[in-house]
Amino acid sequence: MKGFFSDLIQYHFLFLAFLASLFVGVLSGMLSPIIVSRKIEYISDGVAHATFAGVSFAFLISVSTLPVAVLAAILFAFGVSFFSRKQRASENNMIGIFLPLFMALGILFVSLTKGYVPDMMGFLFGNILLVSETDLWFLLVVAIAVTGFVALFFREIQFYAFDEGMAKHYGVPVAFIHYLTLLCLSLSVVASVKIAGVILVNAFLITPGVTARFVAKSFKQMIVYSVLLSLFACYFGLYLGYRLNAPPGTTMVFTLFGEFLLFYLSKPRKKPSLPKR
Amino acid sequence: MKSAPILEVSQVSYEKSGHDILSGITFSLQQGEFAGIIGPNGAGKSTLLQIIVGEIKRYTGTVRFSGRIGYVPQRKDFQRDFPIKAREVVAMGLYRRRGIFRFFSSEDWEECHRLLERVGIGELSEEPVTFFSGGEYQRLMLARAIAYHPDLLILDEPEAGVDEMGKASFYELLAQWRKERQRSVLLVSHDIGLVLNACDTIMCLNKSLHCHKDAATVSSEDLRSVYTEDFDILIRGTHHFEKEHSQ
Repeated sequence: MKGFFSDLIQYHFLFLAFLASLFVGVLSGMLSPIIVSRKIEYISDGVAHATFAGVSFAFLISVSTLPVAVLAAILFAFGVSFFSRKQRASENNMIGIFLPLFMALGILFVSLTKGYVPDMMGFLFGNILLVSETDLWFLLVVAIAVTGFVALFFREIQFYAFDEGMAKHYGVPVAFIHYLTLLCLSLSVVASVKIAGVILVNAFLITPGVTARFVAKSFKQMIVYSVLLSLFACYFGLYLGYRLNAPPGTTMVFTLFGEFLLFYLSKPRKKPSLPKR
Repeated sequence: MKSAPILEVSQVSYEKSGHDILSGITFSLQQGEFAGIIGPNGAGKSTLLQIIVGEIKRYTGTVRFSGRIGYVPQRKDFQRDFPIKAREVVAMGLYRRRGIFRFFSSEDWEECHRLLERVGIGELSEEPVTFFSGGEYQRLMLARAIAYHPDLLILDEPEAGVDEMGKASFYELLAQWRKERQRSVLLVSHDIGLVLNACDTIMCLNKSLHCHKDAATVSSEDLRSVYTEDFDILIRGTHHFEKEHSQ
């Protein structure tokens, strides 16, 4: 452990990874309870894959990947939501249609790119040790935006996640909250992709929320537990990766799964005794 | 002299994928009226309620209502595993009073607690709803709807998943609220016996409205007109109906 901390101070890339873990832990921990409660896990999976198309297109036209990836992610999330909220096709139908479409576009753009094509493996599986200062600034801005969103609209998010139909009936601006959630989700996926990659990013956006729900008695508790679980997984995963010389993204996902398993097995299955009436 | 109706439904029809779900529904509801809608599965009862509360918009005809509608939907909407306290669920009914960017005050939370006491589950105020029984959950939904201070309370099968004792006390609670506040209630139910006992007026619905009359005057022919071939099975199940209405 001592060696890890001295290396943290000594190596700039490790220090950046340490900070990136903090921001990813906060933003994924904040968003995960909303994604899990609102059952939009597959949208986040699709968004992650849509960024692949964005990045490939950026390579094709030789521009910076970040804005194009953000645009592709938002386009996917809003596209799925726009079609499914008209109730002529389900959300899962639209994800099933859009996800392969965006992946196909990504592959097409890669095949059309002339000359040097950067290694897409790093993008698919991520590498926190390659995080740049620009990536870090973007992560910080997204983490602040997501925290602000949750803090400012906590009550509305709670009602929207619990019972969207009735929340709308009682005047909660559910469409506004829904699209803001999708915007935060899209930005978070793009910001986290460098760490976990397209394939693993969903673990950060789903697992902490599911695990926190096992023990939380209120939505506020669920968010707090989810952030703590996410932060622990990020740091312990980073340390494990360092110790085992393994990709940190994978060790973080293993830690998240370990937390899930621990809470799942210790979850009380019986109805707790409610006050006597 | 009759007062102006609180709800007017005129020539409402609704079709989905080429199938008629509702056809030419016309009725009105008076202030303070307690009306029950009965009919077999697939008769369009819940659809009619969804049209009235504004959940379904693509229908023909007109629905006129001024005031607030409190709505208790079917239990399928309930997210069992969502960690939310009972008082927070009730607070949803107070949301319009506060609106966006404004927090609930201590008076709001006290009102939530009072409403939960009013429906008989005050001691569960701080409990997460995850482990609520069917009856407790329905009372919670009633408290949320009442928190909205509705002029008309609409309930879709409120007795679903509730035991016999729970059903009776829930209907009693509903009748008390309506008597105290002089508000109107419109509910859909499969429990014909309870509806006939609790409601002032009954609507027999099977895609079209077959009758809308005082509960005391509903005859077996009225029921037969909507339940058709299932009527014989139904009438055996509601033996008390015959006893009460043969006099």
